[in-house]
Amino acid sequence: MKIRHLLSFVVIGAFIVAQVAAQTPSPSVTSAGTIRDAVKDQVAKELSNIKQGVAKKAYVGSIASKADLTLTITNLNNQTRTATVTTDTVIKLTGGKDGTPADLKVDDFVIAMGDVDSNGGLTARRLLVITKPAADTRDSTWVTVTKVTTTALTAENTKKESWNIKLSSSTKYTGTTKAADIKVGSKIVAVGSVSQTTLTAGLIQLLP
Amino acid sequence: MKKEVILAIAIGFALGLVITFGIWTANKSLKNLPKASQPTPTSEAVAATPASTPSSNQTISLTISSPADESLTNSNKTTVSGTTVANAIVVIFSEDSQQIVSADDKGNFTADMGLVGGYNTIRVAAFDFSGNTTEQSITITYTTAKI
Repeated sequence: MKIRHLLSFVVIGAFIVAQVAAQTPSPSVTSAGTIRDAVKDQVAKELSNIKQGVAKKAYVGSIASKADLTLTITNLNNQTRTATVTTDTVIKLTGGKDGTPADLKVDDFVIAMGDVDSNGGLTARRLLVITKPAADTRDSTWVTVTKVTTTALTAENTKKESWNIKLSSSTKYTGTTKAADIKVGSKIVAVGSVSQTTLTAGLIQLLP
Repeated sequence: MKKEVILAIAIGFALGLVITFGIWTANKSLKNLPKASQPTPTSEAVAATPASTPSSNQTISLTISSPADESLTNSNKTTVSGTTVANAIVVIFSEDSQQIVSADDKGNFTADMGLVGGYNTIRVAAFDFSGNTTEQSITITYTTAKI
């Protein structure tokens, strides 16, 4: 009887101490936190994917091919995009005239606006046929100035190509730079319209 | 009987302490285990970083983070932001204007640009101080029509 009591007390005592010890934070708590963060990240990722999955976008470029109501568009970065027109698609031809899918032809330059699915396919809600844009003549160049006059700079780029930078009253200088600060040997970034090796400067940044 | 109870509690407490010590030791060992998902940095990773300034005519990094390419907006202005090399000179062209901004010491840049109705090509060129350059462009379409 006494031994039974003794054993019972030993077991109960050990159980109580073990229970108290179990309350101590252990790595499993840290793991729970890590799992919570991972779930949070995953949910955010999925939400972003869903958002992206129904994103509204606009594909701009030339119609490369047309099959029924599906258009393959080559965009301005020469990437291929697919757009589908439906009977609900508002189609505007050049000049603002209303059009139908049948009016769309290969080489037409279009802006197709609508919903993009997760595969990148666009269902056009509005499609505009516009005039193909002319190439942008503006450019920027990094050069070292080799000659300075009041109306122009002669400069050389990193490939040792010579540039004529035309200056005018509309040329702006960034920050506190003034025209007089630009001297032979100055390094500048010039921005403006380019014709061959002549750049008519709209903006000039003097480099330190 | 009282002696037996006290003895039993003492033995139980001792046993509990032994168990606690066991749990503590196990926790400590688990804590010191290396995490499999976090690779330890190696000397190879460090060696992958360019050690010197790029020489002339090298391409430098440039990412336009905003706006997204081929995005659609009903606002007539947008904030162009991105990342390139530290302190680079960044030229941003929109359809009807251009701006020069400087990237910060982490390579981040930002500029507010106006948009014209229809599609807008945003062209970004970055130059480092050695004249190395790179260019990226995106399109963003501004319309007030309901899409």
